[in-house]
Amino acid sequence: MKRMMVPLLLGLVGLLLAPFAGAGCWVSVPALSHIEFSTTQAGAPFQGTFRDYAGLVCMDAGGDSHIRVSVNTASVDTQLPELDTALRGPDFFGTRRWPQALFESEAVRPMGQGRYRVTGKLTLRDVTHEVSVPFTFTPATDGKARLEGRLRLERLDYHIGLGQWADTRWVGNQVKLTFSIVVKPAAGK
Amino acid sequence: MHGPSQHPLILLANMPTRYGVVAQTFHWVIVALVVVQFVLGIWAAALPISLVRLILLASHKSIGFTIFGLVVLRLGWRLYSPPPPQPPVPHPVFRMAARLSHILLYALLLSMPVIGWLLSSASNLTVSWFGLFSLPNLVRPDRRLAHWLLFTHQSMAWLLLAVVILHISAALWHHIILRDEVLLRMLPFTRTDRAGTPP
Repeated sequence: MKRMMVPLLLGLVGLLLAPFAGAGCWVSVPALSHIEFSTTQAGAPFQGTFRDYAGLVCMDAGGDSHIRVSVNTASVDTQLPELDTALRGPDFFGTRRWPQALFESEAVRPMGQGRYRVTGKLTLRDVTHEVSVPFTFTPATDGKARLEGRLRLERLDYHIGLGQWADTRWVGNQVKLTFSIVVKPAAGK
Repeated sequence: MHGPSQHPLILLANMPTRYGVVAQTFHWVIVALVVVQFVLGIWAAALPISLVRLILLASHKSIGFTIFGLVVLRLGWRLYSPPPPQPPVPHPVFRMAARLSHILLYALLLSMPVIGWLLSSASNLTVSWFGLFSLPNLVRPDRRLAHWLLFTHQSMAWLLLAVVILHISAALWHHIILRDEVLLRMLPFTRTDRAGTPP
């Protein structure tokens, strides 16, 4: 019973602090999160996910915010093993040379009512572009919070799909990334 | 008096001695599409993952769905305009075999596209009909189910090939050995007066 008291108390403290957590840093809880992408193949919708990624979100009302999300591109999962292998290959993510896709920003602008807009640098392979992503940040009662949003990009801007795969009639150029990431307060805060 | 063959509209429907234009068109268009399906399917199965294979399989799916639609319309037409009666055969077992093989042909032509559709859904590849619209996914992505459906689809293709060979052999047997009109009545631009039917 006593052993349960400490986590219980910590949880309670977390609960009380949750509304004021804006100044802290948060880390992603992968088991509760997902990053999906959707595009088209032969004109039909097509979806896949990334299984392995890490996010660090530091929200500060004073303007010192920082968001960093790194995705292990080898963890791409389209439920088609043969396609996943091709996506890891040099024509797509080139995971051997570029194992991580990275999003980094120090510009998070509150838009009110839990909505934010983050502007930062997205790097896929060795190509970096600036993107601006609206998202919502919703604190939960258990001390965690959920970040949700979506981002549209054109895969060819990042050299995803070289050679034969540069064709955009059969493999859509437009890719929608959807993320729903649960974060918890970072340890040591 | 005008004979039925002199009125072009009447030629559309089946006659007692031959298939009309509509039934013949259904038959031969489906023949052509099934041949294309075999070529696309076997070609694609031999390729590693590539844009060419994606295009081949996307076309295979579009044509497969087209065949399904044509067979449904063809069966509807068959109800509206019944086919000419079967000619005499040396033994009732041949009549039975003809009936069974025709049922099997229709069954395969209807079920293979559905199995293919299920296979696409189970493979997380939504089917698009020539890029114009997408078909709903019938099942959730499931690797083991997809594996089994692919095996079924391919087995059915070989069964279809076997029944088609039987079908062609039977038509030639009717034409060459029995010397009746079974083959001619499904061929365009021919006359079916072998048995002395008045023109």
